[in-house]
Amino acid sequence: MTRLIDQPIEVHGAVGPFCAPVGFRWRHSEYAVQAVLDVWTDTGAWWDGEGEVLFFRVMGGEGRVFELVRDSRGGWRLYRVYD
Amino acid sequence: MPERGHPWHEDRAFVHLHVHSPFSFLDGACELESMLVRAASLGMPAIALTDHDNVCAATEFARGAAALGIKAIQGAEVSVRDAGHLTLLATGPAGYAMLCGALTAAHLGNPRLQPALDLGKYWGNGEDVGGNLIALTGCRRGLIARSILAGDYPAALRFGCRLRDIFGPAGLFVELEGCMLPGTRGLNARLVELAEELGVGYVATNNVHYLEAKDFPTHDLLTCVRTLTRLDQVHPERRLNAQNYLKSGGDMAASLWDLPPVVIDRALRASLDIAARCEPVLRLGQVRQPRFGSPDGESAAAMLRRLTYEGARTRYSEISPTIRRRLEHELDVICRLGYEEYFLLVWDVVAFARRRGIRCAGRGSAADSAVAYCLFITDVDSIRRGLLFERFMSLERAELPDIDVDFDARKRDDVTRYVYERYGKDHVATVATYNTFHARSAVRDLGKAMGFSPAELDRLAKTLPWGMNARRVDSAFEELPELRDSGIPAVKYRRLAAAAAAVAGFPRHLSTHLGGVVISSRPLTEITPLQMAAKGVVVTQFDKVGVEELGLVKLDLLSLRTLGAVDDALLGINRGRIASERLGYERIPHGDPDTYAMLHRGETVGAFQLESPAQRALQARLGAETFEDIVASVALIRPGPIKGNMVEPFIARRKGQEEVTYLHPLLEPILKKTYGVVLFQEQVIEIAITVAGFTPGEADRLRRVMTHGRSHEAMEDIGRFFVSKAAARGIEAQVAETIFSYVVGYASYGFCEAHAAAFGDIAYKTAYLVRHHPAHYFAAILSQQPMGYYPPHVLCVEARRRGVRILPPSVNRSEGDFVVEGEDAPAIRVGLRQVKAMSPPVLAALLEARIGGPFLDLANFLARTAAAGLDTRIAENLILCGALDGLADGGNRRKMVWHAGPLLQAARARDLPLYRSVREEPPASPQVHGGEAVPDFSPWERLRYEYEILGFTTGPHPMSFFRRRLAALSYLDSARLTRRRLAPGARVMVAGVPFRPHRPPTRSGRTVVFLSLEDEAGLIDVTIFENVYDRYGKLIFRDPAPPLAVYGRLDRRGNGVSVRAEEIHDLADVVGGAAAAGGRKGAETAAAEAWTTKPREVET
Repeated sequence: MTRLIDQPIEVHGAVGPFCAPVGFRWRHSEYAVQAVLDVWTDTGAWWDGEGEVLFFRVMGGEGRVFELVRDSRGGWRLYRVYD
Repeated sequence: MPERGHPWHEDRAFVHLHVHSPFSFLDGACELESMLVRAASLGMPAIALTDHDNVCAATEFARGAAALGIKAIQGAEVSVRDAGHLTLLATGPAGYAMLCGALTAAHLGNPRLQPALDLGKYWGNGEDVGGNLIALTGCRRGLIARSILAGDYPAALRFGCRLRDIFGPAGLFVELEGCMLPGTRGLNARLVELAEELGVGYVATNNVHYLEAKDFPTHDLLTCVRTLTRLDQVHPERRLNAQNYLKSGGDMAASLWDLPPVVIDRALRASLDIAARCEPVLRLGQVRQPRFGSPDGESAAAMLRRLTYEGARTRYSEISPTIRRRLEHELDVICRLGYEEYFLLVWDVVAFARRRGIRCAGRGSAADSAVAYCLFITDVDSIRRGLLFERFMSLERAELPDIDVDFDARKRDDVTRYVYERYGKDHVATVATYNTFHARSAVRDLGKAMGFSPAELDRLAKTLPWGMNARRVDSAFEELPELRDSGIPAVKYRRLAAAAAAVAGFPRHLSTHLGGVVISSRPLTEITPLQMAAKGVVVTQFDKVGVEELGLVKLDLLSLRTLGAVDDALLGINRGRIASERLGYERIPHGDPDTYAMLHRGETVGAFQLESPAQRALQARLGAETFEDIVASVALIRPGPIKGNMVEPFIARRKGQEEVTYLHPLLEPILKKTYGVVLFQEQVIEIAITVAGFTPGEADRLRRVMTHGRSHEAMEDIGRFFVSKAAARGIEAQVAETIFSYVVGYASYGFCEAHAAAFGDIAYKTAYLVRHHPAHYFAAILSQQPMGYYPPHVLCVEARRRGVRILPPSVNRSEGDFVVEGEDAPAIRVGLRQVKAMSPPVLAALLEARIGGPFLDLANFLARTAAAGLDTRIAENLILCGALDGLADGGNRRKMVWHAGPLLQAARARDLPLYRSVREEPPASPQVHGGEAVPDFSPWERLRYEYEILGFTTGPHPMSFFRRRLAALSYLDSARLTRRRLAPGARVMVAGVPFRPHRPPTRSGRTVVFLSLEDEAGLIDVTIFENVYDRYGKLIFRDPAPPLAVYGRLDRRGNGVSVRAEEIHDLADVVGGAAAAGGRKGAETAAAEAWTTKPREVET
């Protein structure tokens, strides 16, 4: 099952060619990034002024998969959760 | 992409093998030249071009790459049945021929615009692709990548095996794209695995669709246009990110970040290895001669000579030494260049047309050739006119000549069919043309994608000048008063304007060239893929420039409706005449004084090439007296001579107002016919020969070099060369320099004299017909519409001005076409084909039904035509335009409309047969109740309906409704304006329906608008200078244009008058209320005051 979240998060650490975070904090809980499964870019609604964003699909603990997105200003959001 | 500074970004050698240009039609967002320049600047030794299912850009690509010193690898991204996309690269000419064959099969074997190559059918028989083609497995839309993404590795493997069987292990590579899309990471790893399992290589590509990431919005917009989607809508073909740009080798390596370094190295190196295996596929400029196939073993050269002299004996009563010398010279050049087959080909086509009685005439520089004249390809005697053959062909130029022939538009397709039958459909095809983005189309297409409403796009697009470059949309908001004052907010459209600029000139779709046909001795599919065009003809994928570069022989079989009109007019004129009294086209007398008197008055509406406002003004000033004057007229009113300031000096010298001088006596014989002004390209060549001793071919080459705008330095070099050669012939350096400056100034503006002469012949003859047989000639050109400069309503006004009545359409008297009625006072009867919504089957049925006798009344008419498909719309249109006025119950059109629907329904319900005779009594018509006391339409309403249905009125002209009021206000109509002996500069007030406002290029570069006002008596020409245009541009260019009132000053130019506008107003504001703009109340009031009912033409 997948849920759309789209909420801001704090990240820490940076690893790999895309500076993927090693962990993030969401709703007062800490989540470690165990593996980066996929990385892709999305130009978004460029006609409305949205900038390019970078998606990370990461493996957290307990088999949960998260999609994190970094916007063009460096802000981070949790976009989707796969339970 | 990995951050900048990452080691993977260091420079790597790489070649792009999957690249799309704008010729992927709405899927390529960067000009080809820019791609090539970027590739060269990145140090890439080669680049491949792989447009969707075509090689349209192959010649431009080959030329551009060679100029930059990089290798052009020609390929295509081919749509494969049930397998998506496959990238194919030709390794050389043989591979290119294979690719062309495959693309042809993909196109012609499927519905138009849905090409799909059936791999099994096409290459399933073990045909040896043999290293001629290299296949790359394609992007994510290829079956292999798609299957893996769908989790079906076995399907990917199966298809991979099929491809390997066809292309061989060395001819197949798996494409790896670093496109940063979801799933790429896993996909690329599996693709490498697949390649290893298949025993084939893998190669990095980037499916390039634009130059830089910042160009992505343009590509996204084009995708929306292609898929008919708005930006805010989702569509699977819209790409998620901006990764498909022309990346450097380092960026390519970085984009494959998820693969082991050794794999990345191998993938990049493979691109270089593949490039090394490919060679350029085209040898440009090599002429591929067609084979005419002369009969009985006679050589082509012998046959050409025989036919030339046979023709010469017909054209000239005696073949003088001069004629013989000229013919021998031309035949020598033609044969030495190997073009005798080409000439025979053209001769054969023209001979076919003449046998079939299809009127035709060669045009263009071919009229410089005496051989062409003797072969009856052209009707211009180049020897008598002193025309230089070298303007058409020369040993030095050694290019394939281009012969254009105009045919009667109605029968041109018969000629094309003959060519197909004669040479075979594998050897003949129509030339393509590319429909490209201009301002209007860019605004409409991109604006729709951006979410603008159709109404606002329509308003904006119609305000932009037709044909304007899409780059100029933004500046148009400031430059064009009609846009600036339109109330359309520029800010809102800035982004649209920027998007339009980005796609300026990009091809939108493939279309059909007007008349170009290629003929090849080899099967065409060895040289160009063929596909079906919208017109239902098979076309090459190259346009006329491309086919010429490929060396294909092209014939231009053009349509000229004027020729059909001339034929029809002569048929009508000669009806009932005995043979000796018949007027033949070739026997129209030259030098007719009445015709020239008409030209002097500028009354040339209807005359080919002489009827535009600029031409009418010229004729009124020039006072043409000879055919040479007409030839000069055709050449003078062109952008070049106008901008080059040739018109005024020519007129002044022709009228004796300025002395004719020559810089050197050698120039006199060359420039005498144009009063010392360099007007023709042939004169430029002659000057170079006579003054500087150039050979004819060198001189023509000089002319072409100067015509194509060389750099200042290059021109100085040529100038020094010219002067030194002239000096060697004893001409003073200063004189030679001045002569050269004239030549430079005029070379790019000069017109081809042979072409002007060819057109001048038709121009004079049509002017003769206008003068002496206006009824027949105007009936003919009205039947041939659309043609000429003016629409039917202007032609009707002009015909009336010449005393020819226009009779309304009549279901009992009209034919399909406009025909002449009456002998002593011939009038033109409007044809039924002119009625809006009239269809060929209904017309044919109506005419057939009438054979049994005239239609009696509405019920009788409907009963006898209902079965043929006559519907309510056509019936009402016929009533509203007066075609049933002559029936027994005609007269009240509103009442007839009221009755038509029920009567038609009843006729259909009874399933009546098509009555063939009026004597057969149809069953009683149903009673239609009501409508008895219905008043008829007002005169104004009748006029409006007629205009809407016919495009003109056969009753009073709209301006006649306002004439009494306008006269009271001292407005002059066109007849009075001409007749009154007003002094130049006199203040005048005129009014009329504006027609065709346009802004031609001017000598000063400032904007001047010309338009004509049509009233009941003719046309008034109005000139609007920039300051006035600035104030009233919005009104002038409003669409639809309202009738205008113009205050200004009279200009007299020779025998012609025009008005120089100072103020322009909507006529509605002058006559009060909303009258002129179409409001009913004011119009009816005016009509009640001004119009008296005249008896209509009564059916007898």
